Amino acid sequence: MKASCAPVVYLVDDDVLVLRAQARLLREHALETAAFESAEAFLAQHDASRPGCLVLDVNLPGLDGFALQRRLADIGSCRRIIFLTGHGDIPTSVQAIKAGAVDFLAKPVAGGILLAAVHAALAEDALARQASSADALLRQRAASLTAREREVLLRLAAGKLNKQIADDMCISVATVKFHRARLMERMRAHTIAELMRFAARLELLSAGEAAATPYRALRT
Amino acid sequence: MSVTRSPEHVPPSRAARPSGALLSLLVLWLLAFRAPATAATPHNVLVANSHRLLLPANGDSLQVDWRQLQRWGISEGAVPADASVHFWKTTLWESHRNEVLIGIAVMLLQAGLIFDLLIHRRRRQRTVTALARSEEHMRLAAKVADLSTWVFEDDNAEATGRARDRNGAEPAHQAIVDFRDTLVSIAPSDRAAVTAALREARETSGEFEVEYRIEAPDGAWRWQSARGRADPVRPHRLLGVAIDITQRKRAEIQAEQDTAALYHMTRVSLLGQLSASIAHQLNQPLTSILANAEAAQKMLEREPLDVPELREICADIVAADHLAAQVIRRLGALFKRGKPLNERLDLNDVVRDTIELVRETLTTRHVTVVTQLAAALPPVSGDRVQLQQLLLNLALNASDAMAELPEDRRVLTIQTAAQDGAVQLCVADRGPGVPPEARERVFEPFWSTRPQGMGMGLAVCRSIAEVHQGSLTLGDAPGGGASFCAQLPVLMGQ
Repeated sequence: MKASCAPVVYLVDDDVLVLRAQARLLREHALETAAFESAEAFLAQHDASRPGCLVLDVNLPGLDGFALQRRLADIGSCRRIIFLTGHGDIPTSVQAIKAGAVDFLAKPVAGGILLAAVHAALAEDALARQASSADALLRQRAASLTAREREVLLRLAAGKLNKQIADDMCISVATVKFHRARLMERMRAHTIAELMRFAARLELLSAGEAAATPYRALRT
Repeated sequence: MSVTRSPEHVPPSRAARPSGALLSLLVLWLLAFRAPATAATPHNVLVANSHRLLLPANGDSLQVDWRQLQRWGISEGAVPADASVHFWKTTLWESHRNEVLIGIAVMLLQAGLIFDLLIHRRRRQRTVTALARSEEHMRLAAKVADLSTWVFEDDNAEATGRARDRNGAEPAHQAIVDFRDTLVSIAPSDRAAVTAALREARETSGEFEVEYRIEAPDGAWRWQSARGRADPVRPHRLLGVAIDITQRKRAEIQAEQDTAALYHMTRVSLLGQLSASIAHQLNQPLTSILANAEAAQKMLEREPLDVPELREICADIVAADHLAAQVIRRLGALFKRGKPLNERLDLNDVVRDTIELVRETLTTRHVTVVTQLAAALPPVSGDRVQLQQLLLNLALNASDAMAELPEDRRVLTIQTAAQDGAVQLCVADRGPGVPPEARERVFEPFWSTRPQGMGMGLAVCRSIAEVHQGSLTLGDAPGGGASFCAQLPVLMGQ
């Protein structure tokens, strides 16, 4: 694995002693770390495309932990965040988790707990990255479909038979079969069930995203 | 001309004569001047009127028998001036004039003396009554004020004092108490002060005042205050009063304790507001220590050992531990309920220490702290904890005042400056400020703008400033907002 592709644990804390100690601990557990003394310093050097997670102190001078979380969300980065706090209370922890934090840990945090949280965050990040790359592929394939093929896919998803589709579209069953074969090939689906799963996935994605998704286009 | 014994010649001022002695002198003087004239008169008159009598003439002058004149009722005025009177029977006055005069003079003198004595007696009686009344007043006053009078004499170095009896209820008049006995009943720690005060008053013939405790027979301690001064006539004698001030002292001690309790209570409630900050300050070093130790544990499982890294870890652990200890030390003093101290303090140092305590809280509230500390600030005298409390309170108040502002405008300025004989500590915010009519009211107890506020904060702050012989005032901050300035006098001898 290339060094640039290895996940990085970003550490942000205004206390140098804490930063140094946590970096040491994580390094000892074979994790790459990058330490920052302020949220601003982190933002300046942050590479969203790099896999990893963020261990973030809530109470920071200047931009604080929650503000950084919002800022990251604003710039579209879904960096996984583990919050650390010296004085965690229920409202702040709820706020953090609702805003999408992986975990909310109270200082002083035992190494095992921190490591578990970091590993969980990294796994989530890896999964998300994998999923998003799969989604991207799927979207790419869906975009390569012709308008006719999309119509066929839509009707297939609605559970119609070849004959019904041919009637609907005023084409021959042979043409439907031809479109269907092309469709299967383009979407790289081996069975009709797999194709349906892809279709469902595309619909799911389109539900949470902006207007011009492939499936919307499919429906029109 | 004829001069006769006539009562109207006596001076009319006789009745109003002030003293018997003077009266006697006047009488003697009168007699001395009148005597020759009255003695000469009857003879001359008789001789002048003798032509009416038919006595045989002896030579060419008329001879008159005085007895016949009396018998016939002829007045002496009728006898010719040149007639000679015979058989003139002398009166007691004429024969013993001097003796009579002396007798009268002596009687007058006695009367005068008696009169004088009566007046004196009356006057003395009046004085005695007045004295008794005044003494009664004095005794009453002494009893009401629980006070006794005493005289302290130092004869041949044998010091005795006339003082109250020890249970202090009633002044023991005229009771001579050996001063050494009195001294024994004075608390040992106060004895030196009492003897020193007495000695100094005797040596300088000045006044003195000393407070001391004495042990009552029932074993209880009572406070007394003795005031006095040297007798102007006999400088080695001291006159004075002793007052039982136990009640006053008790009230003073109670008030002192109440104030300390109030300070402590408000301080603890302040620290309650800082609890999150305090937790953070303690958890930071703990986090660092734990992570370092766990990292070291992991490293120790590997071969070869990374000794330089392990050494660094140990150094970091020590540093973090020191930080935690500092936090505890700072807090410990604030939580403790000790007697206020009077130590030499650098106000800048107090400010720096206090900001560390409150920094996390201010960070959480998005308040930026700007400190402008004067270089080479002269020292002040006071209690570190109380001054920290004052600053903490002002800083938290300022941060409260800015809670509604956008985050980038929440700036708290803490400033120290030296100003002619005083050191000034100002805490300014950029909040809405305080209207002029409310400026004095903010220092009143139970005045608060916050619904859950107790309203003691600023009252306690002002009281702390005043305990330090200083003041606390409210003014306008340069950028709008309120500025609280405490003025503390510079430590003397600097």
